[in-house]
Amino acid sequence: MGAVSAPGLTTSEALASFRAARREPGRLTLFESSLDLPVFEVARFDAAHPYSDGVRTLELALHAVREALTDAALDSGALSSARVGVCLGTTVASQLNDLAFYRSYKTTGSAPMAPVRRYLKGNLADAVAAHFGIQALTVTVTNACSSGADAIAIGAQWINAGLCDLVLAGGADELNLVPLSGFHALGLGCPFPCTPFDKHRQGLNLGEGAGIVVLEAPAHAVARGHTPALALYGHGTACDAHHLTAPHPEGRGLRAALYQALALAGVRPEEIAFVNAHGTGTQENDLIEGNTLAAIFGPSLPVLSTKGYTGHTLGAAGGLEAVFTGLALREGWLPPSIGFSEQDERIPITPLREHTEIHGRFALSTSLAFGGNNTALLLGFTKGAAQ
Amino acid sequence: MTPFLNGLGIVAATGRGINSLRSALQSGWRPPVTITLPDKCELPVYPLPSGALEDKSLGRKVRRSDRLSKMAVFAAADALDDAQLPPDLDRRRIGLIVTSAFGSHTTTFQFLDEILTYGDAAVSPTVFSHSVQNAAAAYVASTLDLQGPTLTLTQVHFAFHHALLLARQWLATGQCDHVLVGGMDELGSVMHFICRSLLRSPMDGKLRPFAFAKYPAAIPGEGSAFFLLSGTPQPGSYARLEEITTAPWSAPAKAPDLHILEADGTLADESGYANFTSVGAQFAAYAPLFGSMPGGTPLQAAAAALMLKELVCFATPVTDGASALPLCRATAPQPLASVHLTRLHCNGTAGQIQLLAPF
Repeated sequence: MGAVSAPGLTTSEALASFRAARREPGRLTLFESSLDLPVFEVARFDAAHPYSDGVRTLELALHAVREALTDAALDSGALSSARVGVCLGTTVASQLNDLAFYRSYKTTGSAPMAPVRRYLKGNLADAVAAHFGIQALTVTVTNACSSGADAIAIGAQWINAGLCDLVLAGGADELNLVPLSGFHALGLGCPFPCTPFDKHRQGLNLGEGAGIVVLEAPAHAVARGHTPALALYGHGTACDAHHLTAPHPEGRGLRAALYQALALAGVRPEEIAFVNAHGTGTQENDLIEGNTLAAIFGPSLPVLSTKGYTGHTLGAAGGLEAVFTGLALREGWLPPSIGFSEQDERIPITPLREHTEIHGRFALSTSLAFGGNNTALLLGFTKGAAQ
Repeated sequence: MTPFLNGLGIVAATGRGINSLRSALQSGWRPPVTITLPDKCELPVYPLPSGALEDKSLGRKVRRSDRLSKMAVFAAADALDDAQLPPDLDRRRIGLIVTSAFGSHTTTFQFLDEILTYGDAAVSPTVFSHSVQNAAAAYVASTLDLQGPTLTLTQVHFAFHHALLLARQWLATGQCDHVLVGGMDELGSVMHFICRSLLRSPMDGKLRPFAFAKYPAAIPGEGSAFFLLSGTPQPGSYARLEEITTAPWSAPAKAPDLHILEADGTLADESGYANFTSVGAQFAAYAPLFGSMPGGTPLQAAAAALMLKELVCFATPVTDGASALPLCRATAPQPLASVHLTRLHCNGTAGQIQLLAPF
């Protein structure tokens, strides 16, 4: 697993931030905006490497991929000798959204083609594969906020279908003016550090980062003598088919996605140790998600939202949160769901208020997206792995 | 698992619907529309014909959507309708995969325009919502009440091929009973400018897929095509999806009855297509009807599916440069059993789809 986000440039740094219940939202520095909204930038990150052509999202993705490969005890040689897939989710990196390009076109009728060429050769999954010099099955998922989780589910399907031995899967996104401005226009931008599931929540803060997992076919792992501690046991995806921006009022799609993941894994709801919820801090998301989780798992389920530490990283969120779910299982503890303070009486679950030891083999990570998409990933210890 | 293509919907320069597609394939090449850009330069394009997106019944459901989403909804709805599935179908078991090379660029540029015009604190929330890449899929899902897994894949190369691979997997594992798979791309004023800047227009308005040119000319097109894939055939099935690959090129194991080369001028160098001319009983290329689109495979696949269903081979619309090749030169009934589609990527890989007659 590899992760880069506001809480840290690596999974170790993120864990240190979680352990200290520390978050550092701040003012925007990456580009100009009139909006005075706190954001979760990845500090101390240099994206000026020539191979990424200045595309910060790609650099964030590569940074997390490198950590994930190291964590999986793989080197680039292993990638060239295996059947590899690269499946990544993003939002910002999939759009022709260069403001300087458009400003030039609008004011002069002409514009330099460099941003377009960057787009043409900068498809996130293709670019990661090209960076490592591998012929890979490559897909870039643009399912808005569930993109990273969907990419991991697709990776698992490729492995199960025998198409790949290894899949680099997850999501990456950089801060960008389009979503910042757009979420503000929708009235979803929180003017203070976000407070997921709290009674007085006022919306989300945007963040950036990348979260990557290396999925490996069991036979391939055995052949190289590797024993992974964690596995992706189940995944589920379902659409609300309800509204472009609002979740289904009864959580129809989320409920279906969760039951699919449980069924695929052969796991009962009471076996779930905790859920790393999507928990954006918006009124509707947290209300619907909290009620759906309570209906399936009961109100005493340990729940947290790591978006209080990272902000909403959009296409990266599903990848980052899958990594954080895996880390929590591996570490045996959960940080407080930072930002949560006062119970909303309409939401039956109570997110964690303090550092909590966890015991159990399985956990879930949920992602809800614009367009009504819902995805659940079920992770757990492999049999025999230390718990 | 070899899924069946049981429904087809298309909105393209050929018009909306299967009858328009058939008619265009029968009529052969027609010249593009020439538009004048703000700088007075001219650009030949293959846009949707006027009226292609007018539909009172469907239009009411997508009246707030952008044009790209309408294109997707119309083609997807037609494909579902064409498949004539029972009305009591379990909508939770229908998946949806929407692909695009460029996604909602027109709406994204509209949003950027709002930022520049009104400032980033005073933009339209509706325009933002529609600029999100999966807005089209959201409209398709909500309009058709599709509650299964829903995916949007946006990438310049082979997005449709990867979507077919996934759809096959969803059907094989029993995750879905049916999967609606399609692709779309649109033109717009900024895209016109981009195409004019990056592509070379042919002097006579003709795409020449069989020129295998090192510096090919292109005529931008737009359109959307969707297929309903199912695990079992129906009386109206179009084709069986035998194989999908995206890999360094290798010849199909068996020469198909018809080999469609997707050369359309969007590659910097199309000479690589010449390597494929030994693989197939006869060849065709239908890009001159649809225009040049990096994500144009669904449109070409629609032509292939129609031919396999109706056992007719439609004449390739432009034959220039192919005097020695066995082309499908005249529209005529043929006992087509297999049609192969090949699209090249500048990185040396090829996306290939093998369709077989359904029965």
